[in-house]
Amino acid sequence: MNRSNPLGALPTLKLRLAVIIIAAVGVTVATFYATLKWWVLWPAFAGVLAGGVALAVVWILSRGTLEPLREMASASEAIARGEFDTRVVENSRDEIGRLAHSFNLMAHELAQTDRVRRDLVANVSHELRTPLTSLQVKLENIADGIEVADAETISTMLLQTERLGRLVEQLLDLSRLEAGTVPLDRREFEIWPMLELAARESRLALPNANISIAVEPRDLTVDGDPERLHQVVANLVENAVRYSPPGGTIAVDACREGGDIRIEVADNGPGISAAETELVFERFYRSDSARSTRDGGAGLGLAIARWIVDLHGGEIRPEPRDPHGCRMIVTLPAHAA
Amino acid sequence: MVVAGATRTVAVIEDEESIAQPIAARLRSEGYVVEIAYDGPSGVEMVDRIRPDVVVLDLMLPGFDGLEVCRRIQRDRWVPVLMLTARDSEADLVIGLSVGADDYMTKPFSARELVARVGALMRRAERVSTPSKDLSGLLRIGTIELDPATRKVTVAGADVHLTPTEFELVCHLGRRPGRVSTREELLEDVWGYDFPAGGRTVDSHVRSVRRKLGADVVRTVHGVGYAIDEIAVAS
Repeated sequence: MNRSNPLGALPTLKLRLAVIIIAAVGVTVATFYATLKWWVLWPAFAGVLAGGVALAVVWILSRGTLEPLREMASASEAIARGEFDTRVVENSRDEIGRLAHSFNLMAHELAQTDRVRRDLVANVSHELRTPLTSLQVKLENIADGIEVADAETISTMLLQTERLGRLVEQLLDLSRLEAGTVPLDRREFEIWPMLELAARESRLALPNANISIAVEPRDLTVDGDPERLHQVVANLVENAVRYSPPGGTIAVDACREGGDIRIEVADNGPGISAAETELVFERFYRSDSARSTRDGGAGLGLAIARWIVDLHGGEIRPEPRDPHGCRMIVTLPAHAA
Repeated sequence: MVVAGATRTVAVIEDEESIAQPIAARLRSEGYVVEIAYDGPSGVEMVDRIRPDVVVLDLMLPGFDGLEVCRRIQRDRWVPVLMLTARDSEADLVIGLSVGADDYMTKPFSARELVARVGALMRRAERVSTPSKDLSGLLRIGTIELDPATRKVTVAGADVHLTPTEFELVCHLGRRPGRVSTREELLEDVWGYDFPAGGRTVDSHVRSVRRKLGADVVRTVHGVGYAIDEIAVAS
């Protein structure tokens, strides 16, 4: 039996109180009776003695009952101050013990959220600082006459500005999706035109991109938000184009698979390793090959794509392509649940 | 501002071409010879090859990061390093891990200031390579001994490694026992800066010195600067 918490093993607070009361009453009666019978003392004195013994028993048995509550009160204040690694001791099995357990779970969850938030701020600031630095040093050079503001210089600065704009746009989009403030505008629509549009946009950015589209059957439809799903496909195609070697082929396919619609974007880029299949969907995650690509994205595109697919009740996952490359597979329920 | 008779070389190691190129252009316009590397391994190779007077180094690099580059290029000779970081919190990391970065700038920074700092590091490198005679006496601070002639540092007889910047910082304060030096004074005398920016560089180096020599060696005078007290200089 634990001395600082003798009744900690009892499953409920009610039982704990019952044990304390029965013990107290029992001890009182026994003491009172014994004092009168064997020592033949005054009844008043026997009463005082019995009361004292009962108090001692209650005091010993109730140890550790309320202490966790006091501890939780001060731990709550610590967490409110931002000390997220504060934990309380879980030393009983009753309701208070369970409360302590939930309290610790909550503290852990808060610590996690806080860490994610910190990482996010650090990543955002890093992604913003790089294009800003490049703009500042370029502009200073032009102001001081070291470089001339010719078309080439200005178009590199324009690229940096676009990169900043895209980053801000993606960040806002992601936070709107996470907050759930943009409801899906679902309707039944044909897939082929959506894939065609995404491919056309990518060809605009890279004119000799080799993109083939196959939809089976040709008039296949899906139930979803056309604009959001276009965003997903456009993002996958854009990634495929970005990581494909010159002359590589990108295949965009869609077909029915059981009750689901399956859309696949395949490239012959470096592919995604098995260890990275989950990581690529994390905000700001970029594989080494993506990092070394000049003017790569900030690592938000796939995070956004996953949110949109999740909202549709579907799933998105990468698979390797033979002999090398990556297939991004999106499965969507053909009809909303 | 080319110094007569000698061309100074700067190595820029930065993976963002759109930052590396304009920095290089500005440094060239100041008369330096500049070479650029875009990742860690080729950066180390370049420094070994061209033996630059100052290295401008980005912390986040493909291959291996700026800290590793710093460690490798300092292995056989000291070269002043100006580190570029994208996060405020990285300052202590850069300076404190005793990899030998002498200064840092947080992105976004001004290219004008970068050139001024590179120039100051050049001047300092020169002074360090020709130590003046009058400061050659052994310096003793409690159980700590610094020998400016051999640049050896011992604490209670045990060898301790200080980077050249840290060494000069302790010498500067140690030669003026009890006197408070402001951050600006230290930047001017130890770093050779003639502009007031970079107070936090001083703070980071002081923290690093305290980690190596003991927390009570350097006293902070709040709102003013730093001082070293209890001292006995012997020669």
